[in-house]
Amino acid sequence: MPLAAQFTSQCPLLLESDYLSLSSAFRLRPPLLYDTTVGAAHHISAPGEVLIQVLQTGTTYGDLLVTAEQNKLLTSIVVDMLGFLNLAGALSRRRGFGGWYIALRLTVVGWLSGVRFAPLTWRRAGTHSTLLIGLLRASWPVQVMSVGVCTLAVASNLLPVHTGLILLVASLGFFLASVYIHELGHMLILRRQNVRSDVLCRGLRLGLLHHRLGTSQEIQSAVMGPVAGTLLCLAGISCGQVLHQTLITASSCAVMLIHVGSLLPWYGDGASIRYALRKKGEA
Amino acid sequence: MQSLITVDQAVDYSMKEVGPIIIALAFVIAVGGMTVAAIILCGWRGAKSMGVNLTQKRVEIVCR
Repeated sequence: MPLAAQFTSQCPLLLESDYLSLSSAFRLRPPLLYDTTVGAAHHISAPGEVLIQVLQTGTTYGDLLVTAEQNKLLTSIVVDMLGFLNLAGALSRRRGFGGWYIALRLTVVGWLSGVRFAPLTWRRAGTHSTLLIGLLRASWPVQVMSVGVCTLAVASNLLPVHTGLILLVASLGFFLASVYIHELGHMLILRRQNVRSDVLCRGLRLGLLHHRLGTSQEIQSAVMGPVAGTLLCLAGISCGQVLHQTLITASSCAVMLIHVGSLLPWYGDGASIRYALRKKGEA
Repeated sequence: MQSLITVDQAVDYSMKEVGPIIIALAFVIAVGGMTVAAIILCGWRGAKSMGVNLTQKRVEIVCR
């Protein structure tokens, strides 16, 4: 990965009143900024060290810009640094209630003008609960749309209320459970190998961050996720067959294809396996 | 532009799992579209059922 100059587009929407701080997974030991989970050491220039130290204790975005100006740093350079920190999940942001209304207005105006702000990355140490929270954060559009469509179908008399509720809970629950089981499969293999992992959520993306593994460890971890998801779907297919419900069988098959598809070599877990095998070949 | 950070080459912060959520969202949008079509065609509270006929490659909407 080259110099961080291209991370400006990764900076989320920030208001001067937003309270920013550095994630606890990051430690500054000048001139290096350590990502303790992935074992990375990023080099920080002297003016950047001042900003990182301020972020470690916590500051508003407005005060950060003042500090930058005192150190003769352009706002664009600060935005680029914040963009990288956001990409790495190192940036925490707290915003007051009034700020959300201003941010929403700016986002809508931005959308209409073709300006897009990067979503804030959410990063926490990997546990069962943080994985679930990350999944719910990443899939909120699916949840909202599902509730909306179900409400519309019930309100328009297309579905009885109880049928709509059962369909909503079962389909949404099954989908979320399969993705959760998939990610849990990755996490449990990493835990067995005593590898710490962090849950990362950015927009609709969900993933696990961990330091580089050996080839066999990487393959085990990459394969376990799709296997776990597929096993859950096979259970769903079996239920569908036993209950003679075509919808359950078809839905489980469709979700299973998604999990199996993640092993394709140019995407997701398949790309991880391909990369691990390539690294082994080069070594 | 002078950069404040030189990123460690050994790390990759890109994330993988977006496909399932995008596919699920597309599916829900498709179902929502069919529901809206049923309401438009049959009127509010006029739709009886809807489904996809894969053999004949069409969506079937039945009004009351």
